[in-house]
Amino acid sequence: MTIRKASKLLQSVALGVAFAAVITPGRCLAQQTSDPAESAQEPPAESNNEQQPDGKKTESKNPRRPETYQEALSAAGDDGIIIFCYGPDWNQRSLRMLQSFWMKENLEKITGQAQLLAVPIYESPNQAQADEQRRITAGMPSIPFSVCPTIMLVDKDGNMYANLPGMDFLGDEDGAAALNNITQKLQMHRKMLELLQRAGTLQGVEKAKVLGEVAELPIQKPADLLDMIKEADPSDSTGLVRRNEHSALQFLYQQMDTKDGFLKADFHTTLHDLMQETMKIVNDTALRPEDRQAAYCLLIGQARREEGGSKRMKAMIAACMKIDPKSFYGRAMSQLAVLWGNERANETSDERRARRAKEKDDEKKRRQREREVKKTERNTTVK
Amino acid sequence: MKWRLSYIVLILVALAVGYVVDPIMFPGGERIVQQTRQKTHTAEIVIHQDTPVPDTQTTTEPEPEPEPEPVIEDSPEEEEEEDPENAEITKINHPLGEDNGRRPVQEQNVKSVIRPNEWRKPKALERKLTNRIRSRVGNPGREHILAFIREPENRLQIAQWELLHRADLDALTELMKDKGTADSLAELLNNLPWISSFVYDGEMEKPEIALAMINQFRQVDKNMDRDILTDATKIKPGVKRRIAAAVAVEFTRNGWYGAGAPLSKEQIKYYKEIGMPLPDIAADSGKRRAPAKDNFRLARERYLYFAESWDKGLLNSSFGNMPDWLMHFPCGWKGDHPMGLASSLRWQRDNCSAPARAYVGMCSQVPYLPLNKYGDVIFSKYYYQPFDVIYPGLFAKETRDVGAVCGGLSHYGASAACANGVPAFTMGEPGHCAYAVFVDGEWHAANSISEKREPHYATWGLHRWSAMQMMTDMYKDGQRTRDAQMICSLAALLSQNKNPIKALSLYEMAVTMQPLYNPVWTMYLDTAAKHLSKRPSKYLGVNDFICSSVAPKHPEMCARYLTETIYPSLLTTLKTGKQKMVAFKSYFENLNENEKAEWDMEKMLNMQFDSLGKALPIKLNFFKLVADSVRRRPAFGAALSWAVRRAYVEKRSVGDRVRGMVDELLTQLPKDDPNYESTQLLLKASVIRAAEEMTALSLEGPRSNGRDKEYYLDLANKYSKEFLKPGENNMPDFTPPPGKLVSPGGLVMLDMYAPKQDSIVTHSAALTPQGGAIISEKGKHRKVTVELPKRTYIGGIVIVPSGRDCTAYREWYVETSVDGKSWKLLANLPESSENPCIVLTVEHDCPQARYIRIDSGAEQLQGINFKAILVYDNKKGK
Repeated sequence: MTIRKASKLLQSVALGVAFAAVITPGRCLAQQTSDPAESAQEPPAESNNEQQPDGKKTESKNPRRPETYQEALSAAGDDGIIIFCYGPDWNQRSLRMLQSFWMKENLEKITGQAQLLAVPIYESPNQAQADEQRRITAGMPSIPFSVCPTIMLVDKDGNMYANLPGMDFLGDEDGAAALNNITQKLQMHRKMLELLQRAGTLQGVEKAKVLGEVAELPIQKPADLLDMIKEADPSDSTGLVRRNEHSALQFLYQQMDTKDGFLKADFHTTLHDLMQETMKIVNDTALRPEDRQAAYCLLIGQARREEGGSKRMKAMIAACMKIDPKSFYGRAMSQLAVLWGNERANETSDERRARRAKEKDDEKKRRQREREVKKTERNTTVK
Repeated sequence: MKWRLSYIVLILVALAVGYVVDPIMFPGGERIVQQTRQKTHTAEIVIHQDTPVPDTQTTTEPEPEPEPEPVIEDSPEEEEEEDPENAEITKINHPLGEDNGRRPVQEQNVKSVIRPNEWRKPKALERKLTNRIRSRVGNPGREHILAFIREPENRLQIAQWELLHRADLDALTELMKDKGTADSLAELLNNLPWISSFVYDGEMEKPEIALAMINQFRQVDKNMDRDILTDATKIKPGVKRRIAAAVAVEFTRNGWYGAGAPLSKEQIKYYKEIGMPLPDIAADSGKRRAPAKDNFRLARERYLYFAESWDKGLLNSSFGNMPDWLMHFPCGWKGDHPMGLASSLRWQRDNCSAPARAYVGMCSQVPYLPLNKYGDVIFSKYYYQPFDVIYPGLFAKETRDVGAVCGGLSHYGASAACANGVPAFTMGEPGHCAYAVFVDGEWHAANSISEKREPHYATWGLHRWSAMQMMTDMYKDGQRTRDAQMICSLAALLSQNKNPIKALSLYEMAVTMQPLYNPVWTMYLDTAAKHLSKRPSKYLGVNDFICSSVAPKHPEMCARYLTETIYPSLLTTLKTGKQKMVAFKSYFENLNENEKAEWDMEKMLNMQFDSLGKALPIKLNFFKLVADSVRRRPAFGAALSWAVRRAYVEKRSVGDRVRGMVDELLTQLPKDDPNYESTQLLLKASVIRAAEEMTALSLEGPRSNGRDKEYYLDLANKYSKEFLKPGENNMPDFTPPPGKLVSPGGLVMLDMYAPKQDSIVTHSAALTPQGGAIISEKGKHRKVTVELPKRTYIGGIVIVPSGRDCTAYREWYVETSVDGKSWKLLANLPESSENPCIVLTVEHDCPQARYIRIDSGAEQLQGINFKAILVYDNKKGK
């Protein structure tokens, strides 16, 4: 009886302990999953690379995954370096991406010969972490706004040619979209190198055309590309100089006669004043469609501001959309005719009266001022 | 049967072993172990603060306690412990000691004696709590009160009473009618950590509305009590409950519980993912703002945004461990602004996630563009309108792509921080909008151009940077603050029950415990004014205490306390100027030497000065006190400026003595001070600025007299050139008009001063051939007027503009006047010229004038800035 009692007791203790282990959720979860910052420092099971997020090394060294930027730069070939920035002590998403995407072996297969460097961006680093971060990033281009996760693509000379900050570029945490973007940018970079090499063998207009192709690539181009085009085509017979020199914003500010973007309060211009210069831009097919549309926007806005310009505005909107309906401006135009076209029609009688009174008052002031100017110009000289 | 019982006993023992062996693994386990070891008989009623309370808790409650004993009127013995009339205000040593007092508040939960169904009758419950607390508090002696508020059960009841006290009980009764709602909310309201944070961390207004919001949050998020992320990490649990409280308090007090926005696609996806019922408004309305059909939509969206982001681990990791009061900033970020929409926040969370310090520069992602591509200015509704179709609900992204000016930049930066769970707020500055981000325990101003800041986040109803700083310091003293708040509630309860003397004693205890807790001062002084006899010594003690505890670090808030609450009572009780001077001295002596405060201290100084009566010696003593304190704390140069201004309106004898005092101060600053030169310049600038402004004012008014101008010119001649930066007054070569230079010794007057850029002190040098600097504020029709020393025939004017725009004169015009009132156009300046110097010659019909005015006419980007305005006469013209 005593033995039976004792054995029952032992059984129940064992059962109880096992039960306690099962139903102690905090404890069990804590045992199963640890702090992401800590877990990130452990190498993932499927990865055999030696680069750790905290910069520590294991014994075997993967030549494609250097420890520091300087090491990466010295080993970089034409594919340059791909840098993944993550926040070990504050950004859990980037830590998860480090595991689910960056540490995967297939990244090395897809990224050609590019060096792969993971860079920690700490929020509150201790001395050791700060030293480590400095050691890794020494000589590296700065990360714009420290956004994490960010992927930067740097060429073999250390110039950043593409920046993919945030999830608009990197997609989901599985990294499929990020991989796709990296591959595209790498291909563009390779193409750019190839085109630049080809351009070196050509002269004159032919060279300019090849350089023009480089200018169309949606990655960071060499800083002296425009000068090279100008040199190859000094008369701009290809229109490539105009195409790459035109600044929509600068054109706008020139036309609106502003300094630093602020209009003068009594600045007056008319559609007629703007038409000649602006239509030159709009009709210049050498320019990028988006730049031509941006110039058209100026006329559309002016037509809206002018009395009786509604009809012309609608025609301009239609013409502007035709240039490139899918562009940023093309998409913005889609509802503009409805939004602005009927604005005056929706005006209440009080609003109309107030607007006309204001216009009349402005006109009166302008004339009075003109009279004063004429009167005083008679007896003073200004040098 | 016996075997079964032994099994159960053993299982329970094993369970206890399971908790004990590794307490750290279980959130809050450590505390429970300690409790178990110390007080085994109470272990079963201790529940960790944020451990979800099972529904069964309500059913396992003990029998309701008997109704509280009838209220016994306080016996005289109880009152003899404290006599507020005689008690001196001294700082109380906190029972937990200094270090413990600075730890964040960690309230432990306690089982509430209030049953869930009692919450269905809030009026009866308030009465019950009032009686219960009153009967239990007993003796209001300090030690007793401290012991009383340290008891978790008492703390819970005080917080519950405070909530009911502030609520509209009819509305709350209406809300609690539904049993499900009452049960659901009772679980929160009976939880000490939650309710004390809800009531005291932040500014709870209309709690009945906030509770209705929280009830909705719980309906749409059945997992509110379960922290997916915190279960897996070491972050303290209960984050989503705290989010709910923060969102509800902020959205209620700001009145953001009406119109809402349609759901975004991502949000609908999230609803479906976690199995929440979809709200009733269609998600495809295509408008940024939906009509106000669904109350609390904005608040609910905000709650869901943070709950979702937290669950998915998408916020900055510091968010979970943030003190509750700080959580109010991201959770309460502009609910009525397009950048506060959940869809916009989501975009910023995904694309602007950065370490906290990086948000200070995040605004630079947005291009500064006052005009859009359509030629529409930022201030018109047309600026963003054409692009709205591309960015539905994504105003932050639209701002980044289209552009903005200071307001948009600052909202973008602050919103990016809040979207990622980092506290931030926007604030107004003169002619500008900036923002601040909380980094490493401090607020860091971003995109800021001035120290005159008005946060858009109201602290105690004040939009003041200094109030924000004081609140931050107050919450750093977490435990002490919470104790003071509890005592304050207790005082309000006693005050309500016509026990003012006890209440006064408690208020006094609360202010001494936490002098930075703003609301208690008002309550204390209101009660004191009603029930204390007008004994000067008592008020002087309060005055000294405020000055010593608040003035060193928060001089502006201290001045507010004094002028708004202390002086109205104190100054009527003090009979002589000498007594008043003692009180005023207390403020000046406690100012911290390193404090840089840019605020309007004139209100306080005028109040102090005016109360001193008409006797000359005491007035001069006051000026001396101000001058002496400025000598030791040059950051308070504004006080000196006040002295100069004030001297103008006083009698000549007072004015002259004050000026003498100021001269003495300027020439006898301690030269061993390492900042001697900058201090001297700062003070001189304050004096000259005040002198010029007052001179210009007095010339326009009826008190025009020569001595004001003489004083100003004397100062200007002595010091003006010291303020010119190297190269600032490099004059171009020019051929002056014939005639004699008559402008030196004149006075420059601006219609709007640009205090940040214009030092004023170099104005008088600008009327001489050596050149100076005049910088006016930007805007339309800005005017710079020069008053000549005497009336003369104007033969010519040389104008030397400065700044990067110096060769574009726009449509400036020059006018003349004899009396400074009626103006005659003299010349229009050319639109622009290669020559950075305008020489204007009057060929014939020279006008007679005492005043010359240059009007900027059109809108100016940078104001009209000059190196020199030189005026020449013409005898022949006569």
